[in-house]
Amino acid sequence: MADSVLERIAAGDQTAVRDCMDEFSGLVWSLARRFSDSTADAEDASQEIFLEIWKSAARYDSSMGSEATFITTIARRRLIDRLRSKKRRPQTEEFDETHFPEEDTSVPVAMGTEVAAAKEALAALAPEQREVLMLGIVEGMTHSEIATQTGRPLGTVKTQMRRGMQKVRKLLEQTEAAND
Amino acid sequence: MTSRKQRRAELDDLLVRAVTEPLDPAESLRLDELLKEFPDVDATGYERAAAAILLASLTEEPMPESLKQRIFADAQPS
Repeated sequence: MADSVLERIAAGDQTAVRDCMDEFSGLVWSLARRFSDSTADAEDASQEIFLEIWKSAARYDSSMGSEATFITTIARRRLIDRLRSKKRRPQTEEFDETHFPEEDTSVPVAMGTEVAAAKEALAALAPEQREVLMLGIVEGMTHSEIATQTGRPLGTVKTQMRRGMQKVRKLLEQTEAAND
Repeated sequence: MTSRKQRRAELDDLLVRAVTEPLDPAESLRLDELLKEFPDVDATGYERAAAAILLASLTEEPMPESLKQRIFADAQPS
């Protein structure tokens, strides 16, 4: 079986860098846009994320999930850190849409087994648990911010987050085990 | 003194929280202690779950070509 792109990068294969960009630049860009409030910020974030990917490629373990999940984990950590540090500074720049194509070229991210399992797990959650997970994971809100937004006690939000994440993780582990 | 079962639950709680918000220094230290006590626990499982949730909600757009070129140029050995 051919080495994955990340394994090839870790081995020093320079052609793998281009292949990685071709395969995952859309994913990284879409994540950066989701968690950034300007084009310039999304561009900076994307560059930081790819630098981290090059440095971390050797840590990729295919038994622990897909390359897309590995890259999304790296991207999410970096983007959350940037979001939190920016919250300590006032926002002054308006979002610039001039770089984005007018026609809708967006496509759903390719449906790997982990994504399918995550969707299945989310669909099975109680609506309040699903809402908390979406606000925390997809929107990047803290538990306190979620409590304020939903009007629920902080303790309730924490419990819903913990139980929801446990259910998603359990289903993912079952899916990984079934694929072994 | 908490039981081993309680400490295992505490570890799980900290791992979930670490995925969604920053732990304070005392909590980070406690997490490190518990990970040493339970070395067989997969510390990245919740991060992968969060990544899968994020992927499930995302629609992908192409990266601007100029940005791709800059990132690729930065990756070249000097």
